[in-house]
Amino acid sequence: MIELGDVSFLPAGAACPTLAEATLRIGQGERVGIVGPSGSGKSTLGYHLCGAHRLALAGRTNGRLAYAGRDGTDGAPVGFAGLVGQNPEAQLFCRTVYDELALALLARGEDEARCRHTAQALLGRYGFADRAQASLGSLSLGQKQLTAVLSMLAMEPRVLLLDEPTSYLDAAAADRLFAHLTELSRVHGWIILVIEHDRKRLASFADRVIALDGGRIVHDGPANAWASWDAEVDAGGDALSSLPPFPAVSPDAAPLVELHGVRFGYAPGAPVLDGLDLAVGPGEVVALLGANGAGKSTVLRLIKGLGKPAAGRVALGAGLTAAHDVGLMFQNPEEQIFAHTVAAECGYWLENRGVAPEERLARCRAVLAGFGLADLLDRAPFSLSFGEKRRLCLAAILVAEPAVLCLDEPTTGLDAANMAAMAAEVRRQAAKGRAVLLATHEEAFAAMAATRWVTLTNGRVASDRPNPHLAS
Amino acid sequence: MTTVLRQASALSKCAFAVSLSVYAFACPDWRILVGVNLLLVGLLAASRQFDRIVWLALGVCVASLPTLAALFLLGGVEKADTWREGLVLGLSWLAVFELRLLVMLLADILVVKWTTFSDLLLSLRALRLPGKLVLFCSALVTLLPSVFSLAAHVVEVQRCRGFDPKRLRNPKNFLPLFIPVFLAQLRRSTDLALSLELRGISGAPPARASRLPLGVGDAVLLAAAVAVWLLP
Repeated sequence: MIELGDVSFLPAGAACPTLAEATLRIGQGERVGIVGPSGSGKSTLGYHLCGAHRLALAGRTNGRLAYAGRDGTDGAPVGFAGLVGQNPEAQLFCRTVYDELALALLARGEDEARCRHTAQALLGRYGFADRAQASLGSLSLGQKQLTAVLSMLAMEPRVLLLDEPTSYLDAAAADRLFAHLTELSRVHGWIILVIEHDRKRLASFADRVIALDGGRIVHDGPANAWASWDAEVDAGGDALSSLPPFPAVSPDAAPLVELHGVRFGYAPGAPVLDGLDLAVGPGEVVALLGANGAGKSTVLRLIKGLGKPAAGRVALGAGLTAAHDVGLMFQNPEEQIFAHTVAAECGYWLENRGVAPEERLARCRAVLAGFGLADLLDRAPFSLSFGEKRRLCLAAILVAEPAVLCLDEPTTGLDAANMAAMAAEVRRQAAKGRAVLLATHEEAFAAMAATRWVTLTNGRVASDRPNPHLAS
Repeated sequence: MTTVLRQASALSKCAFAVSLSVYAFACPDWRILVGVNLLLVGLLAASRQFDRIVWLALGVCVASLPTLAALFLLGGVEKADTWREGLVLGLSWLAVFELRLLVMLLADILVVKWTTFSDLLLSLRALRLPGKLVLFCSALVTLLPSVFSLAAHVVEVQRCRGFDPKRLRNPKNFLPLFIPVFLAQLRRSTDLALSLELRGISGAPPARASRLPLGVGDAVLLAAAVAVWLLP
């Protein structure tokens, strides 16, 4: 179905190819995992495999490409492949969830009844049927990611490329998605290409793994024959055991942040939080868990003072203010970074507080050293890798030494090693007496980083318990 | 009834709005203009679209009144024999002009409220316009709302690091907002175009997709667009 012969890709203005001498043949019904470190050419290979290279990449492709037996130098025919990128929000176009799912079908002339049937079947399968007419603007990032994936499934392509498809999805939705993809490949012969950092999930899904390094294919074979799986799992185990210990939390210590009966919604009659009670003390790390749209990010926003509860109150410890003493790191570092150097980006909060340049630089240097970015003070932050940008954003918050630290999905786009490093940093912050709240859907991260697991359901705390992995 | 009208194609809605707007500036009778305005307000209310945007448009009309009043009253006084007749003449001109302006605003709001981006895109495709042009128009119409929502988010992100919106009086302080918005919008536009291309928006539409599905709503709107010109 897909054939690449000695394919190389040289980006415009670059000296080295990001994909070199790739020769592959992928048949109907294969489930392929594409793995490799950041910048190894995973997305470039993915675009070539689904015939979207001409549309998505600027540069020159050499070699032989064929899709369904036809020459694919200029790309695959329309409808051959579907693709969901790392930023699902960017590829949504319509006003409602249903419109988004129906768009591709209407564009190829399907009638309204068929569109409705397809959309209902897909939304029903994911427990999302009641949100068919919901405005896309009212959805959480996870729900938007699900909508983006479903809009591609609705067009029934022969090849589907998913780049980090579960980065914003809760565990239940991710399980449903991979079960569905398996069925589609087995029953309907779809080729599913997945770029995914969750190696455990990928190992149970893919029947073939293509590993890249430096733009070259270093492994192509059955998933269970890839030796690096085991090495990575071992490395993950080592990282767990090397995490710094949590501080002892005094039960008598006054909480640094408290939410009492908080009610909040983005639209009238649709409360996201409905009587939420929560208190976090110094040295505690609370992982906020729950399904997509449960209100995890909303809790963090309210603590930072970015919204006002309709009822109830958010209280900080004595003498603390949301503006000065609460640090909030958002999900996407790209929406924060603007400065011309790493040092300037890191010191922006201090600059706004009127801290003298010399002191600012000294504090930035100290914080950045802790994140392995000390040598990059004068680098343009835009040239950093995603993991480095993420660490810079955290450093830019920690440099102001907030008493309450809120992290919204801090592991999105991070591999296992970076996730362990993030967990270690969170534990260090807790050891300094800070109250830390994490909104996350990564149970593995919550297991490493949190002292308490708080699950939100229907706008309330459904369960509040010590981290079960620490207890064991 | 409004549901049927809302389901009409984007082109029929545009034809209705354009016809009504042009007619308003050709019609000298204030009573007909009042009637047309009431009809438009009724349609907005019946479709539950009479929201703060409509109030904002009405507010803009009211805010423009003093300036327009000065202009029309001066014009009336100059034209009439006595200042008293001039004031009455100026006021009548002002009333008719405001009614015309309101027809245009309400008709435009009606089309915007009743038309989704996907309706517009599919209607443009059905006209068999070049695929790249359809793609360009589609990306363009979503640009403003997308930039506004992104800018609002970036302001929030930077406020969390002590950014004070009052500092925007100095253009240098635009950088923390402008750069992330600009870069993120560039990436979003590229991703959106790729997504729409893969969904077959820019290619030539198949024969069954190139027909404009004209329904009852289209018939009513097109008939209204013509009928308004038959009014006395």
